[in-house]
Amino acid sequence: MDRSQLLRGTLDAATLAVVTEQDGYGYDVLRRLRAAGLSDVGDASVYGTLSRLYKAGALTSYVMPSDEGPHRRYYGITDLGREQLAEARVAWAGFSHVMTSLLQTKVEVGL
Amino acid sequence: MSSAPLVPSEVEEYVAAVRRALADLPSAERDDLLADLEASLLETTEEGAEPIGARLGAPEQFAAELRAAAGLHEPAPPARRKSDLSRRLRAARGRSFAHPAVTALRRLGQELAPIWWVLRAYLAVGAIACALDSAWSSRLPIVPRFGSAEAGLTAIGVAAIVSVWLGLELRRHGSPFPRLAVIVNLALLLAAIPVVTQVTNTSSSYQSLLGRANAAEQQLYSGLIYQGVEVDNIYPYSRDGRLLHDVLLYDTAGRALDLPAFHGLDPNRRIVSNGHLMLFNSFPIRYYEPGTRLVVRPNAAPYVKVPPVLTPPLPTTKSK
Repeated sequence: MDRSQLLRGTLDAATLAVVTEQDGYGYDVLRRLRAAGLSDVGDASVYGTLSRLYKAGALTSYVMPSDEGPHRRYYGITDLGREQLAEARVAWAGFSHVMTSLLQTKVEVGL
Repeated sequence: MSSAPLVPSEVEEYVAAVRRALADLPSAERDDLLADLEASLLETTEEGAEPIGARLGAPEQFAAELRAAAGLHEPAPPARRKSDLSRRLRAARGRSFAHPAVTALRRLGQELAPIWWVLRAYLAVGAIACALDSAWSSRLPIVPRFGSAEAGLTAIGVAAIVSVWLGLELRRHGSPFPRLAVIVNLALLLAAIPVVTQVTNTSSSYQSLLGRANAAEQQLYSGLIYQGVEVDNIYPYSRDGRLLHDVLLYDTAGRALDLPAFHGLDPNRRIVSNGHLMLFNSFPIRYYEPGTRLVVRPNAAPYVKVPPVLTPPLPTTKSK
């Protein structure tokens, strides 16, 4: 399966996880996601996701003046966001466990 | 590299293009989405040496991705706002397009499309011929005559080349007017009705013409036919294998089986007569050597091995 297809359903959780560590602005969040290994995540996908999570109340935002260039809008996690992240962790743990065992079984059968 | 707070024009242009692509959104929403785009892009630019478009793709693509990730709908001009029903229809169509059988059919259709490209070229030429009320070739009823059948064939060939070229171009680059393309193809498909009618008429009228010509020829024909082939001579043999001469043949109705000079009498034909009438049913027909009254080889005959006749001879008139 294409990695980007896998990403689509999990970018919300990944973004919340990054922001919960430390508040960040758009490009900062993008950089940290990429550093964590999601190298093929699209710029616009991250900015759009941030905007949507903010509108849904999972993130809060504030503007910080920058020395170089325009002001930056930082995002922080809200209680609702933490709840969503906790749910996502449980869901992902179960899902990844199932998928891992399924895919391993398949390889054994193939042998 | 300068770290001045000046925004490079390429970033400014890129953001402006993304903003244009999102023009259908309420301005507050759009401003929200784009709020820190400029700052982020600026930082991206400082890090990489690549031009911004190469790194992020076309601004329209970027805007579409942004829109999708933000959970916003695709732009829909208010004039063409889809009703709930048509949205559901589109969704159903989307689902059916995803079905493997439909996908396979679509792939097959794409592979066979060139056949349609050639066919539609022919239909276009045919439709023009119908509209102009041109005559159609009688020998090749599928070809309209534009002055001549050759001109018609040339027109079809040129149209086919143009149509295939157009098909390949549109496949490669996508049609700028997809709706128009559908309408034109449908119209050409409908043009098949008059064209096929015309071809059928031309062909059947040619067939009936041929039929009448054949019938007329058969009425005039008065020679001998065996298994569809004209017989130009007959060689009778006796039961003991001797070639007979001047045998007169008649049919059941008592008609002399004349083999007349259908295409004009050969001046060298040896005419058998009863004194005042020429007997054209006398076989084998013999020919004189040109300029003489001499048949050089009276026993000349096709090479045949006459089988021995073992059936006892009938009691004949000899006994009378």
